[in-house]
Amino acid sequence: MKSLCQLPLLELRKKLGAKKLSPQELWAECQKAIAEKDGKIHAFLTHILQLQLPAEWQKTELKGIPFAVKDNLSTANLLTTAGSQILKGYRPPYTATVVERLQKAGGVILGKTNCDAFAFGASGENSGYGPTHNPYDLSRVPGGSSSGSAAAVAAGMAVFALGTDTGGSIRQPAAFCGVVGLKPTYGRCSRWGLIAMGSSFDVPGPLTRTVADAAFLLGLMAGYDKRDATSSQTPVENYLAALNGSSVRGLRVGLVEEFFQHGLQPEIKKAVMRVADVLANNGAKLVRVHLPHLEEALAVYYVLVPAEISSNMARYDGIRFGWQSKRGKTAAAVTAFSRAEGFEMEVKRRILTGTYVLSAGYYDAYYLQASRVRTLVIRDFQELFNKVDVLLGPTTPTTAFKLGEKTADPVAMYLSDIFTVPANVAGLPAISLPFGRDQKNLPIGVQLIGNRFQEGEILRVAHFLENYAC
Amino acid sequence: MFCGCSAQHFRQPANTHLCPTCLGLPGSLPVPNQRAIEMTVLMALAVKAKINRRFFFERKNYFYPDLPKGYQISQHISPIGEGGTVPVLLGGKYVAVALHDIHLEEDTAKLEHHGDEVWIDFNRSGVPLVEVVTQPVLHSAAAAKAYVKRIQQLVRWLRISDADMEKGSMRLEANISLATRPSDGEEIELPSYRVEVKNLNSFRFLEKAINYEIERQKKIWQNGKQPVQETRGFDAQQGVTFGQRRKEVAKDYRYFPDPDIPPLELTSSAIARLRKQLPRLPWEEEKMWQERYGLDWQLSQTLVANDKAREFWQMLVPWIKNRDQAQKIAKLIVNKPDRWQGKKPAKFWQEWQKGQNERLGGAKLAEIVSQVIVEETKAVADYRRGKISALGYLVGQVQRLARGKADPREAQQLLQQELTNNG
Repeated sequence: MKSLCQLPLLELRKKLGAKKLSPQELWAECQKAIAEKDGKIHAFLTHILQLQLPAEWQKTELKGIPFAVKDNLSTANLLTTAGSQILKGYRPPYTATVVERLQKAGGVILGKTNCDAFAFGASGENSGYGPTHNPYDLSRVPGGSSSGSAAAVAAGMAVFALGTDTGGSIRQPAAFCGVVGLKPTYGRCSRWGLIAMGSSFDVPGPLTRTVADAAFLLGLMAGYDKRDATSSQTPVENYLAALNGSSVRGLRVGLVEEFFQHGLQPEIKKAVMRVADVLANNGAKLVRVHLPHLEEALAVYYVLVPAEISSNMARYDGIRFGWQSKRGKTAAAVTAFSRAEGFEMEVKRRILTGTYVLSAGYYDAYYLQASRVRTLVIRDFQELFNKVDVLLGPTTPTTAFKLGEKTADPVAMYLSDIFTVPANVAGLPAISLPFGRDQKNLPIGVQLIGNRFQEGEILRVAHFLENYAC
Repeated sequence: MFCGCSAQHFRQPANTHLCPTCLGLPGSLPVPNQRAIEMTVLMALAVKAKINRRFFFERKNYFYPDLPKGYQISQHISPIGEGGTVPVLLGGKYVAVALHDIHLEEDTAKLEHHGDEVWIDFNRSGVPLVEVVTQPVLHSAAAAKAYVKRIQQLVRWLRISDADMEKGSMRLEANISLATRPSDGEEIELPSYRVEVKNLNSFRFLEKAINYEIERQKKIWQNGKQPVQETRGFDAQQGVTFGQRRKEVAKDYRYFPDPDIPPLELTSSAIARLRKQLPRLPWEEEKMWQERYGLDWQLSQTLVANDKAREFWQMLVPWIKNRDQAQKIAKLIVNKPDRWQGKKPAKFWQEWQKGQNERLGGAKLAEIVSQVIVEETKAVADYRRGKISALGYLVGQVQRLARGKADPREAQQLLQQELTNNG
C-alpha cells in the first residue's frame, strides 16, 4: 500500500477537508518515511520534528500539509545554508516570499533540503554537506541543484517541495527523480529571500507528484511582491481551473530540431516522440522548428550567470553572518580567509570566471557580447511562439548518471543543462513531466516550454499527457 | 535608497535602523526609492542638466567592511543628470560652474575606530546619496568653496536634504591637480594625475586642504617631479593632508547593470510635473532683486542666502515703493539683524518709516556736529590743512551718530560753519 505522503497533494487536501485524515497523522507518516529512508538518500539538511499547526488550519488552502524547502530559500530562525559551508549555522531573520505565502496558505515546513552549494551544479555533488542520492538508484545522482527537494518528493518523504531554477535546477532533478518540476516565467514568483545565484535567471517553483498539484501551488505562490522589483504585476490565473476538460485539439506543438542532435539518449528521444504521437493522435498539430542559437544560449548562460554570481557572492565576507575564519588580523584578511575556507570548489570556479568576464578589457568581449546574444535568443523564442503554442523536447540528454561520473569534467557537467538553460536565458516558463523509464528503469523527463506567462498552457498540456505517461 | 529604513542616522543608537536589504543579507533585494529619484531629477532640472529619461542602476564591486553587499548600487553610464551648470558668484560676477553629472547611489555603513577594533554602524547603509560631480573648472580654493556653498544652498532650497555637514548629510571630496598657466586664449592642459582628498566635513577644511595641496604639489613640481595619483585624507588639527592609498593602477570596479533593478524610465509627464515643482532658484531670486531694486550682488546674495532675512524681506517687499527704500531696508536686514529680529514686519515697517521721516536738525544736530569735531581731531586737522575730502568723512560720522537721520545738506553746512568759525 502506498504511504500517505506518496499521495498527490490535492488528494490529501480532500481527505483533510473531509476529516478522513488529520494533519498529525500525515506529519507522522512523513517523519516515519524520513526516519526510514533519509539516512541513505540524504535529502534533508535540516528536518523539523515537532508539528506546529497553523491556527484554524481547517480553513486554509493547504490544511497543514507538510512541505520541504530547498535550503537556498530563506526561512526565519531556521537554518538556511544554501548548501554551502560558508553559511553554516546561519539563521535568517526573515522568510522568503514564496515560502511565506505557502505558510499563510496553511502549509507547514517539514525541513530544508540539500542542494549544490548556492545552487551551482546539476548533480547535487557540489553541496558542502555531502551529496544526495537518487531514490531510484542510490549509486546515482538525483540531479541538481534542487537535489534534496526532488529526492524527498520522489521517496515519499514530503508531499511536495520548493526548488529554484536558474538553468534547470528544478526540471533536471525532477526528470532524474521521476517527479513533476515547474519553472515559472521569470518574475512570476517573487525572489525575495531566494539566495541569489544568477539574479536575472533565478526563479522559485514547485516539485510535485502531479501536474495538478503544481498548478494549485503556483496559484498560491505567484503574484507581484513589492519587495522584488523584478516581480511581475501580470494577474495570476486560476491555473487549477484551467486544467479542467483540457483538450489538445488544434494545439500547435513545436519540436525543436536542435534538441534531438545533442548526444540524446535513445530512450529519451523515443519518449519525446511518443509524447509527440499522443499529441498528434489527439488533434494537435506538430511543427518542426529551429532554435538557431541553442549552443550560444549555453555559452551566454555560462558567461552571464558567473558574472552575476561573482558579484552576488561578494556579501559573504565573514563579517555579519556565516563562516568567519579564525585566521587573519585585518578586516581584509578575515574576509579573504573566510571566503577561502568557506566556499566550495565550484563556487570559487564561478566567482573566478565571473570576475574575469566583468574585468576591464574583457567586459565588452564577454559580458556585453553575451548580453547581446541573450537578446537574440529571446528573439528566437518570440519568433517560435508566433508559429507554435508550446515547445516539446527532452528535459535532459541522459537519465540520472552515477555519482562521481562527471565531477572531474565540469564542461560535461555543464552540457547536461543544454535543454533546460534556454528557457532561463529567455525567462520562459517550462515544465518537466515524468514520462516512462529507460532500460535501467530510471525515470525519463519530457519538457514543455511555453511563452511568457503562459504557465496555464504548459500545465494544461502536461496535465493532458499525464494520463499517457506510464 | 533601496529599502524602507529611516534615513536618519545622526546620533541614533547604532544598528537600530536595519533590515535584510541594508544589511546585505542573503536573498534580500533592492527596490528603488521613487522619492529619492524624483529629488535627484529636481536637482538635475535646477542646474539645467540633461535628464537621462531611461536610466538604470549599476553595481560597483569592491570589498570594504562598510559595504555589506560587496558592491555599491550606483550609476555609472546612465546617471540621472548629465552636464548642467551651477551659477556661482565669484569676484562680483556670476560664473557658471560646469557639471559632469548628477547621480544617485546608496550610502555605505559608518566605521568607528575603537583602539584596535573597528565597529560598524549600518544605520547609514543604504541611505540615498546624490553625488554631484563638476568638470575640472574650479581654479582656486575660494572658487571651490563658493561652489560647494552654492550646492548646499540649492539642496536646502529644494528641500532635498538639510545638507548638514556636521551630521554627515553633506560631504565633500576635492580632486586637485596643478597645471601650468596657459597663455592667453589657450585651454588648460590637464596633467595626467589627480589627488583626491576625501571626507572633508566643513567648507573651511575644504579651503584649507586645497590650499595645502596646491603648495605641496607646487613644491613637488619645483623639484622636477610629478605628484602621484592618490587618495589623501585631511588632518583638521594639523591642517595637512596625508597619503591614504595610491592609485597607480586604476581600480577595476567591474561595473555592470544591477540585475535586481529593471531599467527605469521617466515619463514626460513625470518630468513636467517635477519641473512645475521647481521653485524660483536662489540665483534667479538674487538677480531679481538686483534688477528690480539695484541691490548690489553681495547684498542680494546675502539676503537670499539667509532664510530668516529673506523671509522678513519678502514680507516687506509689498510696501517698498522705490529703490532707495529697498536698498536701505536690505542693508539694514543684512547688517543689523537685532533691529528686526523678533519683530512683526508691519510693526517694523511702521517704525522704520517714522524714523525715516524724522529728520534731525537744529539744536540736536548742532550738538552732534560739535561732538564730532571734538572727537575727530585728525580729520578736523586735515580739513583745516586744506584736505577738502575730510569733510565727507566727517559728514559720515555725523550720520553715524544720528543713525542716518541727519539731513546731509544741513549737516555739511553746520560742519563747514563750525570749522571756519572756530579756526
